Amino acid sequence: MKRIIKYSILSLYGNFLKVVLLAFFTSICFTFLLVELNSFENGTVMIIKTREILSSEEIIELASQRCNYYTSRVFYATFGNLTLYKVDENFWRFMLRHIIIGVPPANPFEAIIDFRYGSSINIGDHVQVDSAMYTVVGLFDEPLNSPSRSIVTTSSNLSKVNMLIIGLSGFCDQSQITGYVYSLIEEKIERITLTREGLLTFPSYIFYAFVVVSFLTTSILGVLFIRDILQDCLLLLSLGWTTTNIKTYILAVMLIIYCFAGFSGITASRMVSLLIFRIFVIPVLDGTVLIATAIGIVSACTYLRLLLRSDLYQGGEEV
Amino acid sequence: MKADREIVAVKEVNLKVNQGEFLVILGPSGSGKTTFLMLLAGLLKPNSGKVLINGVDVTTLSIDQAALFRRRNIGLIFQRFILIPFLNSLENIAVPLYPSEIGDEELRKRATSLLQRVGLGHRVDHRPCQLSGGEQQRLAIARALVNDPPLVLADEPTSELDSATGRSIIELMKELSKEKKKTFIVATHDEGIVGIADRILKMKDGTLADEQG
Repeated sequence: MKRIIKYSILSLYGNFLKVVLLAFFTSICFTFLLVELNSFENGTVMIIKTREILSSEEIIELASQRCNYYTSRVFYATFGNLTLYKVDENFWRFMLRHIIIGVPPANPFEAIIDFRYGSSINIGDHVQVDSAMYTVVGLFDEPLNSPSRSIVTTSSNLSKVNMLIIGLSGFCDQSQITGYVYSLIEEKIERITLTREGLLTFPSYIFYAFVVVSFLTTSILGVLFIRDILQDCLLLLSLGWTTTNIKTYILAVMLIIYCFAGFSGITASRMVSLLIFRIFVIPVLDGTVLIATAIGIVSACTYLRLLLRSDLYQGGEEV
Repeated sequence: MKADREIVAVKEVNLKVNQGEFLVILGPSGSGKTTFLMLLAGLLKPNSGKVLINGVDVTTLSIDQAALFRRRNIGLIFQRFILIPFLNSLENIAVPLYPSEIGDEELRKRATSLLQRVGLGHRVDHRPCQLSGGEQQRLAIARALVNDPPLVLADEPTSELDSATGRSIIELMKELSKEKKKTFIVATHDEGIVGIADRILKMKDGTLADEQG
């Protein structure tokens, strides 16, 4: 067993370039799968505005529903014709695609402002709201549909919350969720808005083209790799390795490749998540990658096993 | 996939090979030599008939039983050497015994000894791509002998080599056959090795045509 595992590792090392390319492109396919699932998961965004401050129990209650994918806490207050929003980190998953120039605020002293307001102000300018001074770092196109002009800044520790933005799973019953929100905080609700949000913030056709190329490359590399490994298996069989020995070899090889691809997939998708959504750990991604990895390993092993069996008594000359 | 018409590769072959014999099967391409060797090795199953090696009918063995039988009783040498490119010479020789119970030290000792015997003692760490054609075939011969099998099957072992190298390979096999008392069955279309064989069988259209001693 030890020597078979060693042989598997040497085999992968011997096909280093092919293995790395296969794992790389498989990981891109995984990433695509994850981003797509992520989009499905976040089909709808629910914006709950309340007249009063929400208690932490109410926030926990609303945020802990199974259908919720993320919950952003927001405090907003109106000063004349200007509304100031203080938001937590999750907000950027919802907001980032609405930023048209600049970057999201990185600290409580930076802010982005809506486009109408921004028409008379430049990035780098300073604005004063309620005695606090903010540096403008970006403009957005007003997704909150505020009746007044908006300025948004970040806050890591919100003590007051009068608005929640909840990303809802695309598979949940929205009317049931709305009903639940009403039953819990009906007297506080000012308005509930449901909106659909696409999550890809970079030109998606480039992404899709890249994914199509990746799928094709993965398929071609997969076929080449399986052809090579099959020839290897036939040789080993003729040298006296039993099918159990060969299955161990195939399993070890596939396990290493797909674990590598899975790990790369997790890393890549997390990087995408980090860049787009500003969050790093998304449990559903890990689960999906694990499942995709397991499916990859099982299907590759089964395919090889079938090929091996069908070739055994037909391809003697090929050995 | 179903063939349009049935092709009979080997038919009506009756053959008895003595222990320690160096038998050459001579015949042109497509005469059924490879198929015949694969039948002997248990890699193909005949539609009818028996292949008895030391009293065991290999045609009745399952895939795994046949593999185990090969590991203990048969060494194979292929036309295109078919060495494993990512392993060095020593590892290439040891591969057939990787799944066996033999300890690492013993395995190394056997492989080193065989490597020296085939004249590649100085090529221990070299990979197949760093060896000449003749050296690669010597390595393949050493690999076929590592499990100390009573029977070695060689399929066109000289066809990829020039005549002088091919001759030296055949002579090496003959020496090993005598020295280690192994039965060699060599399939070839190279009539130049006729003088070396203990016995020669001619094969044509899947049938053993005649016999020369």
